[in-house]
Amino acid sequence: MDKANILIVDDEMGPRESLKVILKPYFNVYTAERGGQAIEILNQIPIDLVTLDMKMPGLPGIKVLEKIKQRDPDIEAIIITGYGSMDTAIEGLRLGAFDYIAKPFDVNHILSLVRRALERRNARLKLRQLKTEFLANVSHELRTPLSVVIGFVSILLDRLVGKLSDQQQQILEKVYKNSAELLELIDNVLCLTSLNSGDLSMAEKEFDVGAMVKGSVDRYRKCLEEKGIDLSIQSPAAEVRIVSDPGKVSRVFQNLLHNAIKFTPGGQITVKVHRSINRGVVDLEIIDTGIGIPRDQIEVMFQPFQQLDGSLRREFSGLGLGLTVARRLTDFLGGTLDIRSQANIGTHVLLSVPYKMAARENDAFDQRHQITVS
Amino acid sequence: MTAKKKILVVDDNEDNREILVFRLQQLGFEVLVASNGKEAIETASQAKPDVILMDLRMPVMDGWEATRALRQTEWGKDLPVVAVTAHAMEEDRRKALNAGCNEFIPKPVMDYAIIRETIQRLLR
Repeated sequence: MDKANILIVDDEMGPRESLKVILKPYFNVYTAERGGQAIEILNQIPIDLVTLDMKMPGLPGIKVLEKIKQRDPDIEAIIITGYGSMDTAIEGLRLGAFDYIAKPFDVNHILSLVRRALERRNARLKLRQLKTEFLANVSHELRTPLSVVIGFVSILLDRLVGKLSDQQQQILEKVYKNSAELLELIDNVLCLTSLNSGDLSMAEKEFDVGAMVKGSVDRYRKCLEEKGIDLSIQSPAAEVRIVSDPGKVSRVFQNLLHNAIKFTPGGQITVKVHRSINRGVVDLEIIDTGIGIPRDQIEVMFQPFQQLDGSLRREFSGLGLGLTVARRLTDFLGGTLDIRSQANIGTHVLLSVPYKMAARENDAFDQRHQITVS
Repeated sequence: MTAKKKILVVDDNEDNREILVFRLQQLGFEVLVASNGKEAIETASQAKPDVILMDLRMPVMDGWEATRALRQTEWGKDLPVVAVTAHAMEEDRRKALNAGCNEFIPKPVMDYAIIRETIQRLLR
């Protein structure tokens, strides 16, 4: 294994240098004299462990620890205390430091502490890796047979192997619809798991929000028809091109739309797409005339596995993951999700997602700007 | 009349292969198949397909490795490769694009228009 990277943070040269001498034979050692400098080094070098003096001018050690743990809880920290200041040591442990050691320190003691802290870190990283791999396997193994089912059913439905009677068509449509629902459930469960384990990252790309909305709506055409729901999309522009994470935006929107359709027995759903260049967000609104949610229940609905009626005889099936995933993914995207609802009147959902401007538009925007400036 | 464009379908799952072959033939493509990355490279080096639809997780040689190997060859360095895979997690998408795939389509494919549009875009 590679040598671990250790950062020594101490304003006093004596302890800093002696720690360096102790650790140097076994690890890559970096040093910082101030908290601010330590943060700068952490920005540039993948540090595995920090030894942190608590009493420093400028940013105090405990604040540095807080910042480190916020950025990456897997970076281990060992607290070095000077004058028996137990309070900060205990506070440090509470913030996730591995252990503390008092000056003057014993060579063997510090070496064994560092080694044990690194072992803890490696074990944790390995566990996380295994978990990610396991999830990827589950995802793959669940999707493979499902994709065969959906693939063959859609071949039949598209009449590629011959005509279908009305009854055959109806049956196959039910198979298709239920397979699609199963797929959505699998995706939501896996998405929530990735959110919980912190394995999610942004995959930014330019895309057309209008097309995404239309694509999602199209998936429910049949269902809308059956329930007698009239769905209209209102969008000021033909194309609304933005840079964000299309997969996640679409998952949030789809979950919200799915709920609107599910809890609207018939009537009207309006989807509005609006981009505010000033605020740098895209607003997606879904307004339905469905059964609504009583005011005091709205927050409860965001909890995983919650539905208004949790009984076994309840009218609506599902795990109740849709809103939880929508809220958590929205937070991840840095957006906001606002739900207003009145029982028996309907629900109004407003999803606002921040975006970056698409490249070409950015140029155009800059040019316009330059013209006005000159 | 222009010659039919050749698509190579690489998938270890026979059923999945059959579905894609069916769809692509119906769209008017000539379709070749391979059941792992090694076979894919052998077939591609002979038949020179216009586009490869590549599953990722396969025995013998997986799709990531096959795509990387393809990118090392003179004839395969610009050959369009679409990852069509049940590996739908984000990490997989990144890994596929890093290996040199041009596009990524998650399985199950709910709407086969996506396959058609993607291939047409890459053939242009």
